[in-house]
Amino acid sequence: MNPLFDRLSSDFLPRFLSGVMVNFEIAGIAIALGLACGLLLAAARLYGGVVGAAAASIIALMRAAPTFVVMFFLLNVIPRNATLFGVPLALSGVMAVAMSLLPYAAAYIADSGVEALQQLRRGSPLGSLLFLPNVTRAFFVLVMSSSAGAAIGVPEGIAIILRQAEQLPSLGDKLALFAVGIVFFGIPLQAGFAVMTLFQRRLSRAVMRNREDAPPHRG
Amino acid sequence: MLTLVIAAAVIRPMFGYSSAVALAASIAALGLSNGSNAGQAISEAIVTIRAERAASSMGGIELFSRALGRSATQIVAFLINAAKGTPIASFIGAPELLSALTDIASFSSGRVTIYSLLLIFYTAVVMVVVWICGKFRSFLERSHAPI
Repeated sequence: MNPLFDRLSSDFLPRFLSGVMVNFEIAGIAIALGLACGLLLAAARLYGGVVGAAAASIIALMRAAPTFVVMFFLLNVIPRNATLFGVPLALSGVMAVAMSLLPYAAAYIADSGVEALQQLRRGSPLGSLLFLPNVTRAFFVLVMSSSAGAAIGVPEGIAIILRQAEQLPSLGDKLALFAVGIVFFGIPLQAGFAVMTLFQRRLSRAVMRNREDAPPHRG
Repeated sequence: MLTLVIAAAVIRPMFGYSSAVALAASIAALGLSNGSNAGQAISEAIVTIRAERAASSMGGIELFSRALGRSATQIVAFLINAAKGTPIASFIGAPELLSALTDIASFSSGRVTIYSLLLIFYTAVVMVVVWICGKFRSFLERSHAPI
């Protein structure tokens, strides 16, 4: 039997796996809301005029909102018994982390969306298809940033690893445990990224084929 | 966060614990995680430029500088992300503002005011970084107009 696994508590693996699910849940909520808000903001920004200026200001503010501080702000400033039209306003730990990641996700999606449309206008469809890996990368960042929830007691994967690491005697064991964490987070994330890259490359090949087949443009 | 803790776990036995060591670990972790993302964005841009301009001969430096221009939005996004990530350094004991104000807030009755000030301050700091990054991005885009 591996000595590291002898030293881990018996319920470590199920607790860790449920913690990893919490990380993915937080990132899933943040990217879904971020896509909805970000694409709306990108469309508004490209519309121009007053709407575009207002959207650009909102994006700039969201881009600058620091996640960790927003999380503490949401937890400490909203009273626990606050309601709006009878709906409780106080956020659960998971929702507080997800909402604190929303400004980052929305601003990133908006910026990447605007960039993708500008690339398309410049005649670079492959440049615009970079939107797909960019969104996947945003999801990566959100999953890893969701570990900020450890600071407010959310039972997410990294917090469980850190608690377990405190009970291990040597640095070598701790590093081995961290490596286990990297593998469990890394495999699903890298697999997702590989699928998205494959999809993007297929789309890119189709676009290039259509370009080559199209009759030459006469000016 | 895990990168941060690993960086701290590796650096501490070598140099002992001090604020400077925690700060160095934070810089290493933030730099590695955001730098790798920005690097990946540049490599993806290189692939698309190569595919689009397969026929034209383009030198390594020209290709790289065009890829920098094309991935400017991503590079800036990760520079901003690094600046935004600095409060997380409090997790391993780096001396930064959030941890100091959390201590102050725990003894204070004006928690809302303190956290509002903190939010405004950090947002302003990141906006300055955004402004500087915007200038950098404009420079990248001006240098290589047809990206």
